[in-house]
Amino acid sequence: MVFTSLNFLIFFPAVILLFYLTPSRFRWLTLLISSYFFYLNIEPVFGILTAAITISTYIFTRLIDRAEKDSKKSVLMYINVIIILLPLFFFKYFSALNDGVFTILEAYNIRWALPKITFLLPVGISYYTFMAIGYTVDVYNEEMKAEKNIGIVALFISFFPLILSGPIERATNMIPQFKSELKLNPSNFKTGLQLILWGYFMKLVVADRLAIYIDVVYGNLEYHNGNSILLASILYPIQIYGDLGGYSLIAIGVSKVLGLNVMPNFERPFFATSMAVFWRRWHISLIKWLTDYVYTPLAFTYRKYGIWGIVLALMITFVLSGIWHAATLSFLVWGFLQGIFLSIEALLNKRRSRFVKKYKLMTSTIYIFLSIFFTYILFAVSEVFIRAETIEDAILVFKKIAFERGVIFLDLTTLAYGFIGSIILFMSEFREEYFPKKLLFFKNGNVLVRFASYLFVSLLILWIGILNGGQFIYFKF
Amino acid sequence: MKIFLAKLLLFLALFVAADMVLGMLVGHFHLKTKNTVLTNANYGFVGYKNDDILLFGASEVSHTFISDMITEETGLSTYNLASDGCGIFYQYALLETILEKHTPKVVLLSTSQLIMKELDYVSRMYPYYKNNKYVKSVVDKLNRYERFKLFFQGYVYNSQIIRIFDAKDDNSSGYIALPAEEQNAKISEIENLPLGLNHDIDPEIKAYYKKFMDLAHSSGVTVYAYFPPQLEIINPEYLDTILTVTKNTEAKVINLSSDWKILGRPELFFDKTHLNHAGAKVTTDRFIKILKEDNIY
Repeated sequence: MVFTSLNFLIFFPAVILLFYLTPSRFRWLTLLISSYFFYLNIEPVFGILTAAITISTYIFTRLIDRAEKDSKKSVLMYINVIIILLPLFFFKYFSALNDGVFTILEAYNIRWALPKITFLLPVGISYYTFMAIGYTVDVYNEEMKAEKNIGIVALFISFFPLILSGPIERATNMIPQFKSELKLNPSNFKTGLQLILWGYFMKLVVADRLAIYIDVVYGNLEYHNGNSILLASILYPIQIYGDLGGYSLIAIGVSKVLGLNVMPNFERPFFATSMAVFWRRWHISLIKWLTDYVYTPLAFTYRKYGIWGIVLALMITFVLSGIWHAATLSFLVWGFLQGIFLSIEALLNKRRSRFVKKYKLMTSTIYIFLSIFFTYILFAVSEVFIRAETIEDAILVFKKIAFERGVIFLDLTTLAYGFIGSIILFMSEFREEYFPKKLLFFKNGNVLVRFASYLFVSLLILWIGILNGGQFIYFKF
Repeated sequence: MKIFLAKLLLFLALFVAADMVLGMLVGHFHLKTKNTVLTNANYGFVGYKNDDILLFGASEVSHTFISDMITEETGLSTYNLASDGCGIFYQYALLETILEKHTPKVVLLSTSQLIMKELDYVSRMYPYYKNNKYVKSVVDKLNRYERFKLFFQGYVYNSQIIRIFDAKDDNSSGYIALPAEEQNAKISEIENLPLGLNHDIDPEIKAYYKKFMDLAHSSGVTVYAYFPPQLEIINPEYLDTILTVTKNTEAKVINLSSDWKILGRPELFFDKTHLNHAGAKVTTDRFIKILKEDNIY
């Protein structure tokens, strides 16, 4: 069951009704049952894994809580982290490792008699694994007490709006909310529905429409010239933003309707003026997780190396981020590129600041525009490795963009709808970035303006959205 | 909460009303459109005018058979009902709609219909769903929940607005010419044609293909199964399969898939799977000769 399916449009109101009919102290239980129903609906066998991770996390966090010695706490924490990571490694990286071994053997003309083994990746495993690790480390760091009610832990790990693609939430934020008296109230309802509506717009009107053009070009790279590939590559970051950003907004909105506050996952990333700022606005929950549990401890460990310690921590963090997405060379290169971009920025940071100060560029429109433009291009360049799927294809993309000119492939209808959606999205974010208090639509005080805005966006979704579109891109991670 | 729910209901009512009004407006323009693809569908499902020869299929037919040339040579009015990307479920509903009004003399159906598995084209029939029982029957059979979605006019005409007003007047009784000059430089480079795939045929699609042929034949129509030429050597196993499927119908076979008089002339192709206008002339001429040999005119 995905957010864009008809089933979800029946499931969600049913959950709200059940939630409303359940006494408030048992509402967490309604959410737990609903979450498992939602997840098992995708593939029942995956539920066993989620339950196993929940049990392990529950037992070990309780043991960590009870342990008196730090060394024992540390051992218990590491054991649980390893247990939690095992399924992720097995399902996500076994096939890649397996393929790699076979490729190497074949290169030396060694034929292996055993067949290759491939597994179906349990949906959402990368997300709930990180959430469970985060909870374990938080208990170890004594940022919170281990939860005594296993049902609440199970709900934290399987909460249906977040389980498939995040945001990767923290136990410190979610568990107290699950334990509190959950109430439906009009204000949450309204905000939640606004977020859901905009999320559907981003996914169905922007992402899935642009996907048609991008898929045609990237699916037939050999037949398209550099100009068409350049256009598709420039559009791809917008598609991915519409996809994951849209999913995140729906997830946050659904949670909000149920009275739960989930952290934002994006904050107008395409208005970032540097890669460092970009990564504070893009996939925030993942980057925050990596910052807290990987980058900060690493930077602390390497502090004696000064700026180079930071560079090393950055490189390791982003290479890990690449591998978190998938165990392929493309993602490794992607992570490496992000690390390089950020490292260069970190190394040049002082000079850039001096330069900006000297020439008073902070408020210069041209400087801001160029910074935004270059940040976008850098991100788009790195995303080629993700969209092209193989390194060979990525190289072909760059080669064609550099050397092969020709008549651009224009699927005018698709591009026209795609641009309508993208421009509305861009204008909305532009307003929010630079004029947050002006020209309000969804949050306008006048009920007529609000209604007209809801109506406009709803009709856009229905009339020009891709209503039979595919999955969300980040499900495969 | 009550006030909020009242506002929510009011919004939903407004949404449905706005959708209906827009639907009426767009529906009007949809029937009046000059857009090539939509005109063909409108003609077949709504404005059909008793033609003698009807051509069914997807792009491999719509860019190949020059209706006006056939009409001129044979004296039999001809319409090319083929539409880009449209598969057998579309063709079947279209044939049923036409046969209710009139029985043509000749019907041609492309065998490429057997391998068209994507069902996106079914949405082209949505504007006719409400008033056409054959369309309704096919759509409901393919997806039982579609009837609920089709309550919304935005779903019926989803993504159609630009197309409705994108009126290229290049439709000549359904035939749409592709430029005579080579669009794809790679075509001229092909010396040894590649071997085509041995496509899987979906049993449901096969059943509908046979139903189409049987329905046309039982109505007294002469039916032709058209094997289009492609710049590849048709896979022998696949050819055997489609020949077997077609043999079980009463259709006559026009097999250009292995015809080297066409395959040997890449200048007749627009791309690997479509003939250009020069290729269309050659193929239409061949079809006219076949009609003559079969005493159709």
